[in-house]
Amino acid sequence: MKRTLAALFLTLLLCSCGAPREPESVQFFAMDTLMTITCTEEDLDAVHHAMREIARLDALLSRTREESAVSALNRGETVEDAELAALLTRAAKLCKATGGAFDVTVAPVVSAWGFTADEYRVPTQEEITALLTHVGAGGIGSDGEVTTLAEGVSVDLGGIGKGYASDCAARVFKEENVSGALAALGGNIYAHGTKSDGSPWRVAVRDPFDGSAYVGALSLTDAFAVTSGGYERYFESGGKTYHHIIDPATGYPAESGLASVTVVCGEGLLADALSTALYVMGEAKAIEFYRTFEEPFDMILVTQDGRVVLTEGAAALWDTSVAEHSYQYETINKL
Amino acid sequence: MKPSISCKFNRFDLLLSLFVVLAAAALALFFLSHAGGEAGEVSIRDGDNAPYSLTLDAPRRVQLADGHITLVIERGGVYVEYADCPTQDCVRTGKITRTGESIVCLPNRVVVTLEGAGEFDAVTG
Ligand SMILES: [Zn+2]
Repeated sequence: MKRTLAALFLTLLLCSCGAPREPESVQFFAMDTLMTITCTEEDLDAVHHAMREIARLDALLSRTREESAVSALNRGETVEDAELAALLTRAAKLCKATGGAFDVTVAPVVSAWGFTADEYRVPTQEEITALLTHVGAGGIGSDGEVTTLAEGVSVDLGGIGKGYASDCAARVFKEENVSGALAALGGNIYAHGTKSDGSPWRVAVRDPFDGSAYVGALSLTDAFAVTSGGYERYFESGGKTYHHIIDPATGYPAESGLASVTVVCGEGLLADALSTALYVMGEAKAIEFYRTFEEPFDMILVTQDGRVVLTEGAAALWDTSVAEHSYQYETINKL
Repeated sequence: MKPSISCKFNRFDLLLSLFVVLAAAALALFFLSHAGGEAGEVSIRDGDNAPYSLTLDAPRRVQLADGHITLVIERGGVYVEYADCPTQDCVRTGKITRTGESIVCLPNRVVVTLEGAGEFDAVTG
């Protein structure tokens, strides 16, 4: 009897705090990408809730789905939706803060290059010049409820949609007391809490020059991380390579000397928008922006000449031992 | 926020939308994969069936999509040996060996992903 009790006790003990159980993984397609959320079995309901939220956002923000609110806006309709209004107000604010390096109204130019429909082409300079007259956050009119776009203006929230989706996932995880989960929304990462063994989530940053290698790995807890790089999507025409990150100032793919930019911060939308903006800005302007922008964030810049520039906060989370190629690492601080 | 949006969005809409974006997702998948380490098992999504996992320690052939796809499971990885889809993208993907790598067959709605004792939990970029 004593032995049975002891065995029973041991079993209970092993069940409650024994070996960490295999994490569950929920995969789904939304916002034109594959999304994976990793969590424990107990948190599966919360993760499914987050998934439904993301599907709802996809239906609201998609530029390619005719029935979406964004499509209605782009057709010139007035849209009454507080969430969309708030999102576009935030986007306009970040456009101003980044000196136009991040701009959701660059949409018509991106489409002219064929990046919206995957039918790539090189537009003429006249075409680009004409389209650029409709680019600028001034074309977004919103009073907090109702949004309208100026004549000829259209928006694409592809540059912040997944980041915003990760914010929504974070909100659901928090509301439903999820202990630990990792949302990978097509490269937009949100690390909630820790892994079940209490250690931080390990997120590798892809090597922009070698798709099967990494420049390093981040240890993340309650943080968002997003990487932007021209290597993610590009096409070749007439012996030249054109990538998908369009500089709103020129209408051409940004040639800033950077190969990729990773942003780590406490808001998914901000990380998403800044990774694009800093890529467009280039190293010097990005460092200047890091030192002056009022909202805290950290970044990892991989330059075309093979250097990795990290802010001090990113350096503290960084592990270079996983890098397969040799890079020169530099750390910068706020001054 | 208007609750009407979520009410109108039923299960069918969700499934439909998920598969509409599958085409674009295949491209994204291509860049998303390679999460690193040696894989231990393969997770299989076959149409509307619940996803399931098989270990790589037991080599075998698996029929997916009602026999439209033959997946070969080996110790080091998996590959699509036969598929009747027009694009043959899944066959051309070849053998995947690293955790996080996937093979997608859009027409047959099959996604095969390697999992296991990977070094990383996710990859960005
Ligand atoms: Zn196929």
